[in-house]
This record gives sequence, structure tokens and C-alpha cells, in this order.
Amino acid sequence: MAAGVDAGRLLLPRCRDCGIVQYPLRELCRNCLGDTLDWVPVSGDGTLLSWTNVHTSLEPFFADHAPWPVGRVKLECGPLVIAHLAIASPDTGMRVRVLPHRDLSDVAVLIIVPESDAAVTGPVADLLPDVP
Amino acid sequence: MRSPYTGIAVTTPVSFGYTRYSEHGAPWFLGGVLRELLRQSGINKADIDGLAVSSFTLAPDTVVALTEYLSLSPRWVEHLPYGGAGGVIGLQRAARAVQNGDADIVACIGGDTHRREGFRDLVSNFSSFSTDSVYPYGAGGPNAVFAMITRSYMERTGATREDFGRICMAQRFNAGHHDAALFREPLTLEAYLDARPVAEPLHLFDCVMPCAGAEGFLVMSEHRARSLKLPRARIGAIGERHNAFPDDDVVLRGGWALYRDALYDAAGLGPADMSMLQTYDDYPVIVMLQMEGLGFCGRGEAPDFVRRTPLTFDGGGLPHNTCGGQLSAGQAGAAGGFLGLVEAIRQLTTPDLRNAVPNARTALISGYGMVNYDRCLCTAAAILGKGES
Ligand SMILES: [Zn+2]
Repeated sequence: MAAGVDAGRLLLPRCRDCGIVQYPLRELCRNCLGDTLDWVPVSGDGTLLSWTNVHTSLEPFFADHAPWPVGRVKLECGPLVIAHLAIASPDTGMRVRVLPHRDLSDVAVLIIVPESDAAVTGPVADLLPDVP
Repeated sequence: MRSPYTGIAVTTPVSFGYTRYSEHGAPWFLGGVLRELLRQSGINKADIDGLAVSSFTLAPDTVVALTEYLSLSPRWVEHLPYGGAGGVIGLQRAARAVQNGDADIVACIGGDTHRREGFRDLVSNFSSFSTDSVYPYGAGGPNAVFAMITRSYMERTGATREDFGRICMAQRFNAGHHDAALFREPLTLEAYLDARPVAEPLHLFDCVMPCAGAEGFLVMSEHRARSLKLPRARIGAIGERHNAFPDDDVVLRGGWALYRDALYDAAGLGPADMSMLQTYDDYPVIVMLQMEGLGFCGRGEAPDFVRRTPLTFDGGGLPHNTCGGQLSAGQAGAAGGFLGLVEAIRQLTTPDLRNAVPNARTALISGYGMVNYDRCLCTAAAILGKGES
């Protein structure tokens, strides 16, 4: 996933045998059990299924930044993804885009943004290093 | 059709050691239950030849290490990794072991300790999928996942917070008549609605409080239970299903729908014949999914069902989570998957309970466990009946 960050696009493993895109990450295809998975660019476009704001977090960063917005997206390419939500007025069923970013700890994370604007705004922006 | 559970007795309900935090290890709780099982049944430790255990904080040990810790030499052991479905599935495994002669008396025990810093370790390492793909996103643990399920359910069915509040208030009333529950003071609708948000639409009283504690019971032949003069329940039917409906994008049902007809057919009973319902109440929306999945109402109809059905132990409607459930008793880790089953056994075998369900003859107990990624994977349900005395 981290490999896609610098290119600004979402990379996920796809089964070479049956074409199913995999998430959460795994070493075997969830469908045909084949073990030849290729990391390929996929569309981050999808539909917001639900969301919440986490007020009570077990990690100090999120507790300090509460309430922290999180969403769940059905990607057009197949998988269901839970990710940080950078949308000011989320609405069930709205079209969204999921993109990878490198967070303050240099870990690749997924962020849900509006379909029309890839800029990360709101509380989730605090998760990212300042871009010069 | 699955063969019936003929000749099996379920006895000796034990709830043990509930407390908010504890510095004891898991074996103190699990062994404490065993001590109570032996004391209340009059059985010698050496006669326990089967042991089934569910515990998170026993790790890295399993039931195998516990045999040495407690100096038992069972000829049958089972470790139960089913979380909230562990009690019912433990009952199923134990009953088959006794039927098949693999064990004569099985102790089924679920429980956990709860150290002040322990919950974060448990949640952050709960499953490989959640460690990689859920926990990093807000670190809300299961609250975030179930908040999103609850929002979807409300949007699809029109359920309101007041509907969830009815479930929580009835359980709190029941807890007021069960001394082991950690929360026994009445809960008003105002207090429920005014509670602080945890992960919207979930607020404080929608969420269980993690605690320490343990639960257990014995499984043996009816013949053995009769000779020991133990009041007993019998098993009408048991069903289970794991990772049901994996292609549902929005999680609004569990595996119960796939086996409930077989369950009722095997028991020769229907939902209307149940004296009580004990569900796994990690969140009230999951209670609703179980009421629907087990046929007490249709899909999406649970909000209306709880509006018109009293859920208290003495309300004449459907007595539900009669000891207060986890929402009032606290969630003692894996004991949460035993709580409703042990309460059902207690209701069917123990006279003069303060929270006694009037004329209790039957019970439906439901389990739901293990959020691996974005839903619980294990479901199980059992029908118990009062044994002849
Ligand atoms: Zn495949």
C-alpha cells in the first residue's frame, strides 16, 4: 500500500487467476485461494456505507484529537474499507474516493475524501506531515 | 438432521468474582469458578474428566496449561476461541463429548481478568485483520465498527435511540434484582439520552463496561445428575454458523437465520414457546439483530417489537437478559459469552431467585462473537428446557 502513496494512487493486491481485489491484505486470494497476487493500481472510487466520530479512543493521539471521524466504504473494485474520513458533511450513499497517504509515523494509511476534491481537510489533516 | 442431545444434563450455574479491575490472573477467575462448581455440586475434582475453557487473558496459555495449574487430569479438553458465542458452543462440544463417552463430567468455564492497562493490549492485538486495518483508524476498538452498524440499522429501519434505550432500561431493571451485576441503579430514558457520546450514534449506555469475572456450568449425563440430586436443564437444540453472509456489504443480519428453523424443529418449539430470551448484548443493535434472526419478529421489525413488548423479567412480555446482561453486569471478556447461558441455567434450576421469570420452562440463548474486521463472525443459539426433578 505504501508503494502507491508517492504516486498518489491506491495500490491493492489482485488475484492473477480470478481478478478479485483483496482487502484487508492477505497472502491468498479470498475467492479461489490462489497465491499469485499482483499489486496493481485500482480505482479508489466508492460509496460511503456508514461513518462515526470516535470520542473515546485507546490511543493518546486520537483521544487528544477527539472526536475523530472514521468511515466505511464499498470500493467499486470490490473490497470494503475502514478509513479516516476527511469529509465535512458525510452522508450515507454519497460518492467518495479512498486514497493512501503517509502519516506522521511514516505509515501508509487510507483516507476517505470527497469524489470531487482530493485535498485532506478537517481533523484528519493533523495526521499528515506538513507539506512544504 | 443433527442427532438430538438425549440424556444430557446441564447443571450448577456459577457466576464468580465480578469486579471493575483486578490484579489477579485469569487462572484465579477460572479456577475460582471450578472451586464453586465442585462446592455446589459435591463432585470431587478428580471426577472432572472434561474441561472446556474460553478466555482471552489466559494467553499465552490455553486450557492445556490450566490443567497443570489446577492439577486436573482430564481425558478431554477444549479451548473455545468463539468470544461471545463461546458459552453455547462450549455447551455443544461438551454435550457431544458426554454423549459419545469421551468424558463423563465436563466443566465449561469462561472468564477473564481486567487489569487497568490490559484492555488496550487486547483491543490493539485482537485479530490480524483488525490490527492492520481497523485499529489504526481512530483506535476505537469495536465501538467504531458497531457505531457504523448501528447507524446503518437506524437508517434502514427507522430505529431511534429511544428504541435502543428501551432495551438498556429493561436490562438495568433486571439487574436491580440480581446482586452480582456491577450496575444495579435504575436507568431513566433521560439519563440514557443525555449520556456522553462514545462513537455516534453510540453513547455511554449503549456500550458494555470491560471488567473482570467468570462464569461456568457442568455438563453430564442425566443419570449422573439424578444420582447427584442436581437440579438440571436439558438441551432442546443447538445451532451455530460462522462468517455467515460474507457478501453483505452492510451488516444487518447474522448467521441465526440460517439455522433457526432447524433449531426450533429439533426442539419441537417456536419463539412463542420461549419463557425467556438471553442474547449477547455487546450493543443494543445486536440484540435487535438476534430478535430478528431468531424469529421473534421479522427483519427490520425489532424497533417496533421492543416498543410493544415488555422485556423485564416480570413484565409478562418476553423476559430478556434477566440478570441485566453485559450492559449491566459488565463484560468480563470471555465470560460475556457465558453470561446469558449461565443465567438461563440458573433460571431453570434455582428456586426463589429475586429475578425469577414466572413459570420458567424454556429458554433461548444466543451468542455472537469475534469482530475480526468489520463484523462478528461467530453466531450460535441453544434452546434449553427445565429438566424433570
Ligand atoms: Zn482468485
